Amino acid sequence: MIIALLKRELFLSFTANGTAILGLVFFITVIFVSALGFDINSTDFNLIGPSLIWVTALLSVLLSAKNLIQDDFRDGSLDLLLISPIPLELVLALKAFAHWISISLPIILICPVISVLFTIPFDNLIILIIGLFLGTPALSFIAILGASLTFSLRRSSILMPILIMPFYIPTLVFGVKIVNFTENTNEYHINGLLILLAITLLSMSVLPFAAAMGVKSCLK
Amino acid sequence: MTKNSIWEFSNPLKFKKLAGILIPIFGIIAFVCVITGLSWGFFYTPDDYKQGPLVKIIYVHVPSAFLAINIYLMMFLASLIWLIRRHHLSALAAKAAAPVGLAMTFIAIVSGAFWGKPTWGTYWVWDPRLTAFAILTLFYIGYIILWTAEDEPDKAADLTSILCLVGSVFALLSRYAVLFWNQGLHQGASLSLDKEKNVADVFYQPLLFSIIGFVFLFLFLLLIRMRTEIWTRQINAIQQKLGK
Repeated sequence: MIIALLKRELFLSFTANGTAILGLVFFITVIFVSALGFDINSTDFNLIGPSLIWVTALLSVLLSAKNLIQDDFRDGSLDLLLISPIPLELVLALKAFAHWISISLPIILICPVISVLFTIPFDNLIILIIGLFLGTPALSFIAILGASLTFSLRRSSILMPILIMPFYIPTLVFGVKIVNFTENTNEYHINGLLILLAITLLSMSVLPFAAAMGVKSCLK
Repeated sequence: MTKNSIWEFSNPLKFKKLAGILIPIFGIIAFVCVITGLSWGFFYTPDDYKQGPLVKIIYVHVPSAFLAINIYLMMFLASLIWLIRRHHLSALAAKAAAPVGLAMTFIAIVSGAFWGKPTWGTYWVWDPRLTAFAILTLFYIGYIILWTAEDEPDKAADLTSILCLVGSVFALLSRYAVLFWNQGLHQGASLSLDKEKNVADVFYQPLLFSIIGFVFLFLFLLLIRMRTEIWTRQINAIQQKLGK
């Protein structure tokens, strides 16, 4: 049952109408265009790479998460999910997980290619990828909270980024700082990655419950 | 519900009666304390040996910063009470407090900026405390906007309460995340309960007045805003009845 639900979510996001491919294309386009906005000949050009990758990953997650619950709400499948034997909390956690697989995982996989554009050193790239791997699940889980709060409201497409962007600050700060830190001590990197992991675990354990409360009070 | 408990005032009628008594009292206390604190602070304290007259911005900056944080804490508690006990007044209190909190955050940031320009040489630095306040502003704005997006009061109260509860956790996380940067320019806390005072007595006494005045000003505004909200809802209810 749980597997079936996960399959459904993944199927929906990887089909032609889904957001998986579009998210990746969005990521590459934004990275490429905004890189041109910086001074390409400057000496710290390779320093902006990790920051830009993190910020763009964050935007991709945010923009693709808008319809996570809204689509199900509009075509009525949300009501079916509510009366299904799986608790709503688990449904939402699965949705967030499927969203992570369809949006963040392709972004992480394409990172080595993107890093060539910014000539990010290999050591930094490893840290960046581990950081993305540990940090991006939190982004998806926070996004599901935002989607659950706004799916039935007016102007939800602009409302959700306003509400949710501040929640991304901890993940973003730690994710970028551990890559660009000047003292390359292992202990520092491991501590930073552990904090990222802690934020992710906190989001995974708490936010599905908050999101389920939001969905239930919207459907009352 | 037992008589003489604090929950008695979750009844809007009783609350309005109490608010009618308390509003003028709080207003007078706030007026007296703010005027005393500010005029004492501005005109009757010596200039600091290093900062000159600039030190006097403390009488606006510290109380507003103190309130900006504590109003969010109050909203957190009110949201929690709304989600657990579903007292409408609790949700109303959180709603009414948010714009005041936002204003206090603005006052703290702006007064700090005008102090920072001559002292630090810049209006703004990406200092942990300053950044934390900017983040707090974002959380306040998100909260207020979510209230305006939904007309149905109970649903809006639910959604905003969830946002406030989860938001406080993430606001706290952000506050420690920005500490991850280098130690900034901002000095440590001016007032604390457990450590010794960092502010000399001459500056301390008017500051105390000023803080008390700002707190009562907040309570005054809060009660007025809550009462107005209750009236608005009553009018809406009457209009709906007449309409049908």
